[in-house]
Amino acid sequence: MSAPQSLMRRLAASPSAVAGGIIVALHLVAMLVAVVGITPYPPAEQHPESRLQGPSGAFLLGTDQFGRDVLSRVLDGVRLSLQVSIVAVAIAAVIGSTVGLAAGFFGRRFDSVTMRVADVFFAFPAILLALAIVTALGPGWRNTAIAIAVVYTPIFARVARGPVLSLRTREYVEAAEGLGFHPARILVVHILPNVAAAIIVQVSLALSWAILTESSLSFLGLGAQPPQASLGLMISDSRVLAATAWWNFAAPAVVVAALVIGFNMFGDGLRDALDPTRENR
Amino acid sequence: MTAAVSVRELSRTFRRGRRSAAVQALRGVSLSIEPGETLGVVGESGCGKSTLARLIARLDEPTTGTIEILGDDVTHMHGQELRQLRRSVQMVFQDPYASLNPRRRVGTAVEEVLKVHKLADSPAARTERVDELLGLVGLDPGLASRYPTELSGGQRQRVGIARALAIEPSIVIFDESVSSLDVSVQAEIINLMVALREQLDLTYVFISHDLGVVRHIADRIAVMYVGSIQELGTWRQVSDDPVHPYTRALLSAVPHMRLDDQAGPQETPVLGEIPNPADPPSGCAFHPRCPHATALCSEERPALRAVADRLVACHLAAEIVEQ
Repeated sequence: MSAPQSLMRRLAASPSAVAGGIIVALHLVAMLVAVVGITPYPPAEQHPESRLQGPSGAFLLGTDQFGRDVLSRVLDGVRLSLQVSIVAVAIAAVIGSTVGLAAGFFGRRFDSVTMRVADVFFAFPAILLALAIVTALGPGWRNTAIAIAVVYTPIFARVARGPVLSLRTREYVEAAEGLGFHPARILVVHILPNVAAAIIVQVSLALSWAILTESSLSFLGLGAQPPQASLGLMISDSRVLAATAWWNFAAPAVVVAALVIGFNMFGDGLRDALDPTRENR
Repeated sequence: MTAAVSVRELSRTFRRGRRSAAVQALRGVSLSIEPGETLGVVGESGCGKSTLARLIARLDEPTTGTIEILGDDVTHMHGQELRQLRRSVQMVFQDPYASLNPRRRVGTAVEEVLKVHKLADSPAARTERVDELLGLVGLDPGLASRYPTELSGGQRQRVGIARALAIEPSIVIFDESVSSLDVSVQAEIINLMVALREQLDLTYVFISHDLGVVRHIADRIAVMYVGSIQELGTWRQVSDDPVHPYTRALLSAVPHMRLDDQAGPQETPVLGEIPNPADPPSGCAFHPRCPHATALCSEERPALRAVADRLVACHLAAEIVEQ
């Protein structure tokens, strides 16, 4: 049986991975709907005659104070959240893992310098660091993505470095060296596949944190700018209306929570499925 | 004739951090190995035999001293030059469970060596050579599609040997390569090593803590203790008629199976612990445990001198021989 097949089998056996996977898949569908542009209404279209209406046949999740369709805005908000988070995590994963692999493999001064820099980043709370970077760069989804990428890059460096440190003293890595293999070959062919599992799990977990960070930034008015639909911004705009028009508040809040929990559960399931101690070929 | 391996005054000091004491794993070892010869190196754990193996294989760099392989000084080679040296010197590791990448099939692992060193022209030629190599070490070529976890320890060690031989080296170093195997499997692997040595004209360095195993394969044996050679002679001299008190003690620890109840040279077993290599005893490193030790032994480190047709590092060697 090939490795991907057995991985799918083990994922399917994990309730956490299945539940998380379903939640994530639903949101990816939502993202697709918004990307293709088949939301019930254009997300920014105002219907002044029907402001702050509760859920109805015409507006499934009701309308906000400008008469915009909450469902359409939530769908578009999911698209924006995922777009920012996926771009940010992709950047962080590629740069962070490369630095971490190199630090662990080549060690010495490069290792100490990069890890001290990572420590400096870790010293700041994630949201504070992201806030500072967005403030410096200015709002907009690209800058938000860059800020989130910077915040999570050191985590990937750490995650990649750890296993490399233990792998490079493994006898088979030393044997590869003794057989005259080039260090690049040893790193890519013999070390990377063993680190990949940890990085993949981290991607899933980082996506959940990135979504939370993105929402927090928009909530604080530093991420997406109105009239763009953003989950954080929607929560922020509707929190004073929570008592009168709760659907305005509840819809984006539930979606953010579901996304964060979904990615987290999927990441946990993935970690168990990829755990080499449970590996049996 | 150029020696296959020649090391002079080899020392290796390990330092963990700035403040802790340096550990002298190897303290001035000199020896040479002729082409086609098998040198056995024995000693207790921590005596520096593995350090010596790693230095000869140039997996490590000596602190001082020189290493010559087939007449070339390889002491400080690195990069591309060092990877070329691997064509001549190969090492087979101790743990057949750890020395193969668990994610790669046996055939792939052997083929990779051929690919890296461009030892076969086409994929078909490589596959053929892989089968040939597996056959050479007594494995069914059908095992090529298996993962290492599906093989027994002995089979894995054979794969390790096949990988080393794929390069067609002239010198192979076995670092405790049979120590983790069952006794019956040990014997099979040693027979294989002996057969391959004849067939392929190989020079061996055979490292083991087990003198009983070493004397089955070695032409000469070097006995090491706390980083230096204590006695160096033919296997017969060292295993049947040892001079150094440490060799005698080591021999008495080898289990004997004789009906006449006449074990080899009788000697009291070694007392006490192996000294801390970070703080070796003054003079002869063995003097605190030696039944013959005199005042001189604790003051002056004995040089390796010719006594009774072999080299012995003991002040009292001449007197011991006379007894």
